[in-house]
Amino acid sequence: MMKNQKYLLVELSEPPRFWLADEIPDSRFLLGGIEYKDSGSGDFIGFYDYLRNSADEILGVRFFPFEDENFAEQEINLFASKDRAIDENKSDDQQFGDNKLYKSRNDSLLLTFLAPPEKFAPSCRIFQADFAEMLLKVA
Amino acid sequence: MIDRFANLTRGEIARKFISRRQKERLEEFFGRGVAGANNRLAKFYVPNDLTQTALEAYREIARRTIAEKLDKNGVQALRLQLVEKALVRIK
Repeated sequence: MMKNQKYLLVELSEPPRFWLADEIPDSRFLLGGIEYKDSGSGDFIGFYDYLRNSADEILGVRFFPFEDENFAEQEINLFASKDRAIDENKSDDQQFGDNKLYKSRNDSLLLTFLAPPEKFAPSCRIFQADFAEMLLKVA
Repeated sequence: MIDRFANLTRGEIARKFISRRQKERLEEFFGRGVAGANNRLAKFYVPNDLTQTALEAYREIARRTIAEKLDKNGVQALRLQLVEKALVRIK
């Protein structure tokens, strides 16, 4: 993945859990106590919009997966905050790339995105992912 | 003429025809959202090494996205205009 760029990782749980990372290990890693493996679908698996409020702060991300990934929905809204007051006119990125799907052994799903340049709203809960801690220990 | 995208999904088209470098060129070409596309239409240029193959592959993905009624804000429709204009220029 590209250098000097942060990444957003979102676990598709209820509620979703958000992490920011400077770097992501290549194909397998640990995050939040779960081991994830690259699904192998590549890094252009749909389009995504950052969900912004009227103050240009990020509240979450909206993902439009390609049919290949077999998601039940064609549009997945992932909020990092209980605040859902998004400004649609500011949430139309249709970004693509650096967008991968990871799966765990028990079918937990995690998506990666290129992190937005703007700040998250103060109401958002974002964890920091440490690269060294993400690395799998090989016995 | 054979349609090389006919039996492929959008993900397969992206994997097979749009390299990482071409993705970056497409992002540069389109900008962000409606504003980015309108800005490029107003100040039109095509990044030097953006290829016909990548443009045609993106056009197919965008067309299908629009056909599935997933182009909520009209971004893909604007990008289609950009792609058509670029293809005329580079062919």
